Amino acid sequence: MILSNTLTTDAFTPTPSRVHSNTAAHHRHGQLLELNAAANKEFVNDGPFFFMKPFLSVLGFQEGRTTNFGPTIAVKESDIPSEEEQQRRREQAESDMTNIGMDERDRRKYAGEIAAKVSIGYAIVSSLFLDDGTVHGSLARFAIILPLFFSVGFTKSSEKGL
Amino acid sequence: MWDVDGTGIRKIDDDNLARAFMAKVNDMNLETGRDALLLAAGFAALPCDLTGKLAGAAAVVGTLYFLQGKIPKED
Repeated sequence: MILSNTLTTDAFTPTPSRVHSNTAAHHRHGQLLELNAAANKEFVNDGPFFFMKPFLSVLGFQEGRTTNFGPTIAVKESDIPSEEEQQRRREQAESDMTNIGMDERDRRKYAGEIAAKVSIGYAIVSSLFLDDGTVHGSLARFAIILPLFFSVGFTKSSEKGL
Repeated sequence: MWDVDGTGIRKIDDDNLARAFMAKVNDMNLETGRDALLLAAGFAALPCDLTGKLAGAAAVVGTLYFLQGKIPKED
């Protein structure tokens, strides 16, 4: 910001000996203003999953609740740690770039393992009983994508803490 | 939002941090969909004969594993 202000003052001081440099400085100033605006603009979820935002509160993603295997439950007063511990955990999460706690990561790891077992079970059942060698059989095997999605998703979430 | 300090879900006050998290989570979600799709498509593309034999073998091995120690031995 200080740098930006210095450049602004410098760029718009109309001294005759600096007409050429003023054009370049003006351009640079415009770029800096755009960068500042981008850095300071309010957070908006404009990513590929922005459409999920209206459903989050319906699914219980709101303050006072905590994630449990993905969905949410109410926070127990007795489970809330001290202010110092809360601060320590926030700093740790910020440095690790994680947005769920260790308990939830462990739960998601467990859920990922269950979903992996379901996937293996479905792979065996679909191969032995559902696949008749036609396209329908292949589609029946492709349906493994559902348990696989949960297995991969929960496992990645657990590993990355997101 | 994040849920890291034991008080439940909270809005992330720092917008830059929130933006960084959003990018990371979106990447992870896309990776998850891609990986699941590739694995499922790969499995569906395998020949029926091969998957049938492999599934049969897996079923036998799995049954033996789960029955391990549960069949009484004759003296």
